[in-house]
Amino acid sequence: MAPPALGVDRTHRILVPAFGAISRESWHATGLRWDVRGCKAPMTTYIMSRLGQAAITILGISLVVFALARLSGDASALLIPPDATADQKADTRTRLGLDKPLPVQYGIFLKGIATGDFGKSFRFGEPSLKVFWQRFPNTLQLAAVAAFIALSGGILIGVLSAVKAGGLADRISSLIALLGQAVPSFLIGILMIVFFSVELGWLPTSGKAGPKTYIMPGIALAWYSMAALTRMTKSSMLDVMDTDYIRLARLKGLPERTVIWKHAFRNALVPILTLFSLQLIFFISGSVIIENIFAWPGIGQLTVQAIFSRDYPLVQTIVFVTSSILVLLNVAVDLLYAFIDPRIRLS
Amino acid sequence: MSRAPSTQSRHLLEVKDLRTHFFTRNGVAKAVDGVSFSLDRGQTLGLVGESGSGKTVTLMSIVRLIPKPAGRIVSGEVLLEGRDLLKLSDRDMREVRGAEISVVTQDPMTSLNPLYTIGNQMEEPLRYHQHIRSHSELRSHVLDALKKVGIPVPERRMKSYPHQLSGGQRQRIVTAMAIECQPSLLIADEPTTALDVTVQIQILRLLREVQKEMNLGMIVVTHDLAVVARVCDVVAVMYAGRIVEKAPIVEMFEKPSHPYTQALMKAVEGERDATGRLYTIEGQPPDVRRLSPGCPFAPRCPKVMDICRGEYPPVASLSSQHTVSCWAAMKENGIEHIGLAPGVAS
Repeated sequence: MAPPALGVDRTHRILVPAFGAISRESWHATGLRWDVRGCKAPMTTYIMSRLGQAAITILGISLVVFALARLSGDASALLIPPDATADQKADTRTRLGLDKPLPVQYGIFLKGIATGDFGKSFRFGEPSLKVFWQRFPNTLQLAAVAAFIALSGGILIGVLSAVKAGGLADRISSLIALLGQAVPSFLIGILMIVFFSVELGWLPTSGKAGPKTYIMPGIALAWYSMAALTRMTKSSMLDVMDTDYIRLARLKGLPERTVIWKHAFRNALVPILTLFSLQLIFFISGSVIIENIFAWPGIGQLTVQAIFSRDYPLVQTIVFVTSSILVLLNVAVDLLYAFIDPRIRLS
Repeated sequence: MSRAPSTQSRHLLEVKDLRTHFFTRNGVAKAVDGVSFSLDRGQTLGLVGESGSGKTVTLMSIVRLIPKPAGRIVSGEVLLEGRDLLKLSDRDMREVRGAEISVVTQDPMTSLNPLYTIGNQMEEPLRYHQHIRSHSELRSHVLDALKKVGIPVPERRMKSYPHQLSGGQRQRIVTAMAIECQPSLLIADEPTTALDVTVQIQILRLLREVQKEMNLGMIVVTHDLAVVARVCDVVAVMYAGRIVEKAPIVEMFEKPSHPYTQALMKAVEGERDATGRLYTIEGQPPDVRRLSPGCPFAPRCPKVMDICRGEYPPVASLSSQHTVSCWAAMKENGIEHIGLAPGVAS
C-alpha cells in the first residue's frame, strides 16, 4: 500500500511538495506519511488527540480539587454548634458523607461529576452546580468585556507602536506596558473608584447594574493582560515587518494598510494568541480579586464566600467546572492556530 | 498600458546623479553617491559589486523603498519614461511599484507570505493596479502568468501554500507576480543567489526569455559575473556607492579597464598566485561613512598613483559606450585630465 502523498503524475511517480516528482521506491524510502490532498484526516486526528489530552487534564484537576478541599479543614465543625455532642458531630459527618474513607469519597465525587451531580451546597442548601450556574454568567460577562478591552487595546496600540516606532503610539504603549506590569490590578481598581466614582461621580462604585458598571471592573481585570498583549504585539509585529515577504508586498505596490493588516498582522498573530490563551485563565482567576473590590455578583466573589464557609461541594464545583472550561478553551485556541497558519494545519 | 508615447530618443529609465545617504549616529553613510545610468526597453543592465557597494540601495532608491528615517535620497533624478519618480506623491509611487516597475527579490524561500495561497498573493497586484474584481478574470490572469513562467499544473499551484513548493518554483512564482501587470521595467535583485546551481541557470534563462518576450528593460543586481555574462547587455561595476566602469558585456569582458573590474575578473577566472592560492583582492571594501576625497579603491589598488589619493577621477569615455572612472586607466588610454564630458551618459 502506497502511503498517500500530494499526488501521482502520469508516469505514476509521486509528487512530493518541495521535491517534485519522485519514484515510488524513493517515496517509500523517505518513510514520510504526509497527506496534503486529504488534509482533513490529520486534522481530525489532531482534534481527537487534543481532546484526549484535555480529558486527562480534567481528571487530574478533579483529584487536585478533591484533595485541596479536604486539606482545608473539617467542614462539619462549622455546621454544628460549638457545644455539640460527639454523637451530633458524628451524625453531621455521616450526613455529609465525610465519615467514609477518602478513596470512597473521591469515587462518589467522580461519579457525581459523571452524572452531573456535584452535591448540595452546605451553605445554600441547593445543588452546588445550580448555585454555580446562577453566578457564572456574571463572571463570564465581565471576563468577556475585559478580554475584549485587553485584546483590542493591546493589539491596536501594539501594532501602531510597531509601525510608527518612536511615535506617540510607541510612547503610549511603553507607558501602558510599564504601568500594566508594575501596578497591580486591584490597586488600579481602587484608584479608579476613588477618582471616577468618589471624586468625579461619573461611574457607580460597585455592583452590577447596566453598562456603566462594567467599565471599571472591565478595565481593572484587563489591566495586566493588555500591557502584556501590547508588548507581545509590538515585538511580534516588529519581527514580521522586517521580513522579505513584507518587503515584497511593498514592492508589489500594495497600500500600507494591506501590508500591515493582511500580510504582517496575521503572521504576528500566533504568539499573540498564545499569550492571550494563557491570559484567559487570568480573566477568570483575576475575577476573585476584582469581583470582591467591585462587589460583582460572580463566581469570584462566590469562591471566596464558599472557601470561608468550608462549603466543600461548592468549592469543588466552582474550581472543577471553571478549570474544565479553561482547558477546553485552550483546546479551542490550539485549533484556532491551525486555522490561522496552514503550516500547522497541513503538517 | 503605455503612457505618453515614448519618443525614440527618450530612454525607458534614466538615473541622473542619484545620491542616497544614510544618516546614522556614527555619521553619514554615502551608500549611493552620484550614480548615473540609462536603460532602454529590451536592454538588460547588470549592476555588479561587492556587498555594501550600493547596488541594492540603488535599486531601492529607484522604487523609493529606502528604510526611513535613516535613509534619504538627497539628490538626483530617476526618470521613468521621462517622469521623475522622486517627485511623485507616495500614492502615485505606489501605483508605479508592481505595475510599471516590478522587482524579483533575492530569496524566494522567504519572499512569499507563508499564510496565503499562491493564487491569493498573485491576485493582489491585479486587484490593486488593474482594478480587476471578478474572480474568474483574476484567475485566468494568474493562470496565464503562471504558465508563462513554466509552472506545471498551475491550477493546482494556485491553491498551494509557499511551503509546499521548491525554491526554484517559488522564484518562478515571484517572477510571475512581477510580470503579470505588464511592467516596462523589471528589476532582479540577486535573483539566483539563494538557489541551487542547476536551478540558477533555469531562472536566468526564464528572466531572459520573459524580458525578450515582453520587451522589458531589466536591471539585474548581482555579485556574480557569471550571471552577468548570461543575461546582460551592459554591465556597470559599482564600488563604494559609485559606478566605476560601465561597458557593453563583450567589451567589459574583453577589455576591463578599471583595476577593480580587472581584479574581479581575475577572481572569477580562478587565477592562482605562485603559491597556488586563489586570487583575492587584498583589503576590505571601504567604510562608506568615512570616504576620503580620493578614489575609494586606492588603498587596495595595484596601480595606485599619487593623484588617486587626493582627487576622485572623472568619468572618461574609452569608446562610445565604455566609460571608466580611474586615473590609471585614463593614463593607459592616453586620455587627458581635461576636456571630459561630465556624467555617465551612455
